Amino acid sequence: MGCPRRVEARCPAALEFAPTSGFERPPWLPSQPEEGDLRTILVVSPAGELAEALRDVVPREMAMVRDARPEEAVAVIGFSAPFPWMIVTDAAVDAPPAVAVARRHPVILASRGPVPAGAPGHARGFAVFAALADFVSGALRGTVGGMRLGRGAGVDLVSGEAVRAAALEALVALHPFGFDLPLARFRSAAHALERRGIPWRPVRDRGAGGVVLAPLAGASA
Amino acid sequence: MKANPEALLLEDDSETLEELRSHFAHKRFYPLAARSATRALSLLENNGESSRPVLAVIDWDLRLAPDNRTTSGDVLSRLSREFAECLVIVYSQNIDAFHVRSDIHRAHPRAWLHDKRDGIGSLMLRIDRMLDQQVGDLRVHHGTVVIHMPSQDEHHHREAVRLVVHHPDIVTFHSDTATKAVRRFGDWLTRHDSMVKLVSLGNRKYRLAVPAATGPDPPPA
Repeated sequence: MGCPRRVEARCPAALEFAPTSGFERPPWLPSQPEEGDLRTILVVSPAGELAEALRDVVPREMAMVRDARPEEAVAVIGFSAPFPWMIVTDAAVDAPPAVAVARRHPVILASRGPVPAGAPGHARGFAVFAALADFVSGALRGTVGGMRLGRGAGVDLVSGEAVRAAALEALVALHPFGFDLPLARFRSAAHALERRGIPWRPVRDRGAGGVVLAPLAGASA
Repeated sequence: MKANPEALLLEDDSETLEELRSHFAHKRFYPLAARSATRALSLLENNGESSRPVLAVIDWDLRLAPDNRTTSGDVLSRLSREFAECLVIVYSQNIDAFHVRSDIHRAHPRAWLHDKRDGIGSLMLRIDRMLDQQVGDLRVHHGTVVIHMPSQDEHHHREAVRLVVHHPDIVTFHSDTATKAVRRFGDWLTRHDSMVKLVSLGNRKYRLAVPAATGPDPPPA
């Protein structure tokens, strides 16, 4: 039997946080990172309440909620290719791998309770669950310049074309807020837009808190 | 070419298992029936090379199983890890209990849940609704045959059924044999001038597309 093309060669970042030893590996984790058909919301909490509550507000065709314990987080993040679309942490959880991945990749980081120590500027903390749920739902419905998150994964363009680009997906979801990351992290998104003649590009915008999508000079928004 | 779809049935009560088996056999499924999780895992291993179930019906509580070396959670983890394109429905007397839902979703985040207290008839009705989908001018009949309604021609391959019941989601096919069957189904759609088109997304990922004018398709049950 053949295997679908594995993604670690294309996305070496997937293995940056892969477990070496001493981490718990949940039984459902695949043996190698594999690009999924559905974006992942990884919920890291001591019990499963937060994940179950979010499951009720996330349309199942838009994202899959993965429930991980703190000791499993590093394994799950390491085996998400290229990285989880969003990580949600519980206030009671110390989640250094979640913070580390959000400081290096365009991963949306949200927390029930205060933002974890060391988190990048784009991390969002919510005192109550309802506000967190609104934020997650809003991110899934995000639109900018006619682009919106597609069913399952990727971004749907005005033309109807679907683009698989994790960085672009993150920008569309978090808009109008920016990512506190170097602009270079969004090169793949810029290329994807340029190749298709879409007049929007990732730019650094201090007012938005980091990198956001903005119309090219001379193009109408 | 015909290839009857398989349905994995895991139920520890022999009478209920027989009811399920005859229901699916009547619908021209090939039932892979097991009274224990160990047997279900062995059926998946033995059939994994040549065929993959379109649907799995899993009883969460296996107290009457002839052996308890493995659990229904192990079967769900295996399905989530290696048979992501299989629709999974889990039923239990305690499906409303938080810890049951949480344990099921940790093992298989995309599993559908059903309350066993509603009776086996209700479960079968739900499954029939999930399988007998209509997409554009295509209809799945009894979960095993795709019918092009204008011509009433039938396509019998399990991978065609899989694509239609998963619409509009993306399906990743795990073998060359399966992808060849999918491409033959795409040719069949073209020959019949169907309004439904096969979309290849690369990396063995496919989905069906229907022109927007036909309106949104109903979500699965």
